[in-house]
Amino acid sequence: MELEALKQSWQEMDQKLERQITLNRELFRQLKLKESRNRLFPLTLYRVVELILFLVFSNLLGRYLFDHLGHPQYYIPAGIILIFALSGIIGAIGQLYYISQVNFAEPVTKIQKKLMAVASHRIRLVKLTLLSLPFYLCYAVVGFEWLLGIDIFQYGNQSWWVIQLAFSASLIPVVIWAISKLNYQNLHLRWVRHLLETDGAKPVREAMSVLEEIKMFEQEDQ
Amino acid sequence: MNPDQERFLSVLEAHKKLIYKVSHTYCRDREEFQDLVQEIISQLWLAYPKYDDRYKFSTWMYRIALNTAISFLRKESRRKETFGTLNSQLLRIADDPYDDPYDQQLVRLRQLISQMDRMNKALILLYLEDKSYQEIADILGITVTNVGSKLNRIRKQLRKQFETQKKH
Repeated sequence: MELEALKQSWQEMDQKLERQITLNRELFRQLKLKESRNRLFPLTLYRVVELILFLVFSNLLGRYLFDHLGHPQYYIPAGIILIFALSGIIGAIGQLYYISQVNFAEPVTKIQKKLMAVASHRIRLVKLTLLSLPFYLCYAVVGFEWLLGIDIFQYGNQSWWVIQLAFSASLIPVVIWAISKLNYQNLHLRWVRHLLETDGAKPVREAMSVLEEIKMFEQEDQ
Repeated sequence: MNPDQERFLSVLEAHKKLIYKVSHTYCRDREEFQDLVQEIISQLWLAYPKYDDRYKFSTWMYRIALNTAISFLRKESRRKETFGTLNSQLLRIADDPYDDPYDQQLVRLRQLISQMDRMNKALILLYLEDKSYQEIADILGITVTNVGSKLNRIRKQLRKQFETQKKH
């Protein structure tokens, strides 16, 4: 049987379908169309919440930094943390821009790629978190002073500081390696899977599989 | 119902088969099918005020319906939220001609489509709907040459499949 024969039988069915389908007008009236939201609404909401949190945190951190301008042992670590928070703000704004660019009336391959760009935001956030790992001492210094009023410089002796700094430095190559591995092609690795799928990243994995299909679909004939 | 909704409803009425076919191609069971029908209608409603009349209406509608069906963002229990009753059907089908188990050609066609990936499903659906290569290319965002070569490949696969079936 040829594709053309299938087409013919499909079109014969079309006639029957015309008679057999009815649109349930009553149910349509009940359908809360006014309340319909773009399917990207939840993602937009997450990004807005994320943006607000980063803005609040950056604002507080900025004030902390300003208040400690005479104390480099505090304003330097606070500045480092602020850089990460500002990256988070830029990331969230970028995401909101990507989301605003998604228009479902555009060609299928184009839209699915845009959706993947939106979905892959999670990877960037995880990478940003990993990048901040070697700077854990900054969080400790600022956190203790800010929240508990404890100056940890008074407690740690020189060898303690050397150990902490050496440990921080040793984290750098590990983090670089982890970041290079962190993508959806490496989902077969358990730790990658764990990092990327901690809270409902299934849609992202599905997005990845759609993208793979599109790639294959576009490459097959080149 | 306001005039906008009335106008939308008449457009929907005229293209109800399109919504049915896309949903049928991408869904395995009745409940999933109804969810997708409703979601496509919601997305069409949202996009309707921005409809660009440089495109054919069916092209615009296919793009939205296919993007909704393919995209990974489908919400599982939307119908329950909106209707509150699981027995409601936005598209009522008296006797589904595509589900006729006695029509061997259709059974084979369904088998063939179910084995395809999401993009090829869209391609074959548009081909069966007698869309021109140019329109298929516009909807999917690929080149006309690409459409032709892909359909040739599917044609070859199909021939091979049926030959194998005959031997058995």
